[in-house]
Amino acid sequence: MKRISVGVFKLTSCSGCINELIYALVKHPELLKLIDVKYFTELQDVNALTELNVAIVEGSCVREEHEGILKKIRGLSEVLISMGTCATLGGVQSLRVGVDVSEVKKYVYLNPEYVDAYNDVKAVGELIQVDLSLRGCPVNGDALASIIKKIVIGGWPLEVYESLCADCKRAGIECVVVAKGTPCLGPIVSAGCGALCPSFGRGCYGCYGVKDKDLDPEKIFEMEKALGRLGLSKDDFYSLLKGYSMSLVKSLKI
Amino acid sequence: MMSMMYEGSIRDVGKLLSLLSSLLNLKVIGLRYVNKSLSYGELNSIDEAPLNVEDVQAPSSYKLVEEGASGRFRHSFPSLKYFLYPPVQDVLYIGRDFSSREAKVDLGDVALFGIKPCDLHSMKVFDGILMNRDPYYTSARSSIKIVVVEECVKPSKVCFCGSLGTGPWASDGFDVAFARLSNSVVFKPGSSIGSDLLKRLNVKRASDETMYEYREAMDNALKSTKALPELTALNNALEKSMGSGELWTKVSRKCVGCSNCNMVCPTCFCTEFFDEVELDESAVRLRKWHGCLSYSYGLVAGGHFRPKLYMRYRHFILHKFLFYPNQVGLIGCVGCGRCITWCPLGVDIRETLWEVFKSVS
Ligand code: SF4
Ligand code: SF4
Ligand code: SF4
Ligand code: SF4
Repeated sequence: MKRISVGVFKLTSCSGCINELIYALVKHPELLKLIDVKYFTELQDVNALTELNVAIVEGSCVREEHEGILKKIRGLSEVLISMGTCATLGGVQSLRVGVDVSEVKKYVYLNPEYVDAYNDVKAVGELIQVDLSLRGCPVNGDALASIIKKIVIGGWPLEVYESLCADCKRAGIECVVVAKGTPCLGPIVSAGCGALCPSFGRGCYGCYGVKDKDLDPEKIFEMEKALGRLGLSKDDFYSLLKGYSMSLVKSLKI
Repeated sequence: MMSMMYEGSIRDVGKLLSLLSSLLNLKVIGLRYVNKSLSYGELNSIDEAPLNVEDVQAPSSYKLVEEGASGRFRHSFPSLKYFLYPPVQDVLYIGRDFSSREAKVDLGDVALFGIKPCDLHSMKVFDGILMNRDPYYTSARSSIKIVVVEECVKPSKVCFCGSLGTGPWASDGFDVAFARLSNSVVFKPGSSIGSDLLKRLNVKRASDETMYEYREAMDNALKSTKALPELTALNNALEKSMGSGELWTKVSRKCVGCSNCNMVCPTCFCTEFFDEVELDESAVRLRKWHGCLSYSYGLVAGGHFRPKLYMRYRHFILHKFLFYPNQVGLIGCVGCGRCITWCPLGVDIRETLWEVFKSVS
C-alpha cells in the first residue's frame, strides 16, 4: 500500500478536533504506518509545507492572513478536508459576528491590539473548495479513523444527510422533547455524534450544526416555535444556531 | 365469526405467560417495564409487563403514569421492528479476496407477548414485503412460534386503528388474544395451539354479562379510533392530490424532515447500506434504518428523486396509503399513531389526510 502524504493545519479553534485526531491515531497506530505526516505542528517539530495527498484543516478564518494560508494549502493538496464545526461552519467564535471586533477584544484581552482579527468569521468552504466536511465540536474520533482508513486504501466515505433524530431513534433513546418537554435541536441538526446528549437525557444544542440540504428559513422558524413552546427563548435559539452554524445562518439569511 | 371466548383473571394472564416458557420452551418477548423504564426484551414474569402503567399520548407528547393509571397500556416508540428488523444489522462479512459470508440471524424460538392489534397487523404488512425476500427478516420472523395479543379496551388519543380495520381487537394471525375488563379478563383463541393453551388455564366460558361488557368496550374503542375520512374516498383524494406541490407544501409546512416518524413507524422498512472497512481490506457490510423524510433518501448518482422536503413527506403518506396496497394488498399504515406522538414538531397524519381530503374533494 502506498503511503499517503498528509498535512494538518490549524486556524482559529480550540484544538479539540486535533486532539480527537491524535487520539484516533493513538487508538489505531497501524494508521501511522500508512500515512506520511508532512505538516502537523501539534505532533512533530519538523514540518514542511509541500504537496499533499490530503490536507486536513481545523478552525475558521478570522483574518486576512488565514485566507492566504488557505489558498496556499488548497493549491498544494489533492484532497482537502474541513475538520470540525469551526472549519465547516464557523464555530463558537462566530457568536461575535455582528458586533465590532475591537469592542469584543477588550472584554477578553489585556492588550487587544495584539489580536489580529476582522469582524467576520468565515468557514473554510466560504473561501476555498472543500472536498469533505466533517462536523462536530469536536469531531467524532471513530468516524475520523474510519475515513482515514478508507482514504488510505483508496476509497471514500458515504455521506448521509439526516437529522440527529435518526441516530437517536436507532439507538432506542426516548425523545426528550416528547417525553420530558426538554428543548432539543436534534430535528434540524446533522447526525454524527450518535445522539450523545439525548442519551444522557438532555437536549441537543447543535454542535454538529444545522442540516444544510433540506431546510429553509420557514422550517427553522417552525423549529423555533416548537422549542419556544417548551421554554427556549428566541434569543437562545438563534445564539445556538449562530454559535455552531454561522455559515448556514449567513446563507439561509436567518 | 366470533370464536368461543373465556373469562378468567389477571392471574391467568400470568399463568399463560409461564406456560409459554415452561410448557412450550419459548423465549417470551414483549415490552418490559422494569426500573421505570420500558423496552423490548425477555419477559420473565407477568410482573415485568407494563400492566399497571398508562401511556398518556398526544401529538408531540408522551407520559407514562403509574399513579392513577387505568392500567391500559398501549405502546411506546419502540415497535416490533426493533426486534424483527433491528436498527443496525450486519449483512455480509467480506474477505480481502472478495469472498463473502452472509450474516446469520438466530433468535431461538420465541413467543410474542402482549402486543397490540395494530402491531400484529404491522407484522402482516412486513410479511408481505419482506418474507422470503429478506433473509434476515425471514429468519427473525420464523423464530416467532406463538403470538399473544392484548386487545385495546381503552385506546389512546392518537390511536386510529378503527379507521383502518387493524384494531382495536385482533381478528386473525394470533394464537391467544386477551382483553382486560373491569373485573375480569376475557380470552379468545386464534389457533388450535391457542385453544390448547387456554384449556390449561383456569378459565371458563365467558358469561353473557362479560360478553356484553366486552362487546360494549370494543364498540366504544372502535368509535374512538375512527378518525379518518372513508377510505375509498380518501384514496381517490390522495390519488388526485399527487401532482399538487402547493397542497403538499402546505400540509407539510411544520415538517423539518427529522425522520422520527419513519423510525417509530412499525411498517417503515427502508435501510441504507454501509461498509466498515478494515486496513487489511476486509469489510463488514451493514444496514441501518433510513427514513424517506431524510435528504439522502432518493439521492442517487447524478441527481435526486425527491429533492424537496414536501416531496418526501408526500411520499411517506402516499406510500402507506396508495403504494403498499399495490405492493402487498394492504394499507401500509396501521393507525398506531406513533408518528403523531413522536413527531417533535407536532405533525399529525390524521390532520394531513383530512386536509388533503377536504381540499381535493
Ligand atoms: S431527543 Fe432530540 S435528537 Fe432525539 S429524537 Fe428527540 S428531538 Fe430528536
Ligand atoms: S413529520 Fe414530524 S417526525 Fe416526521 S420528519 Fe417531519 S418533523 Fe420529523
Ligand atoms: S404511519 Fe404513523 S400511524 Fe401509520 S403505522 Fe406508521 S407510525 Fe403508525
Ligand atoms: S391503534 Fe388501536 S390497536 Fe393500536 S394501540 Fe391503539 S387502540 Fe390498540
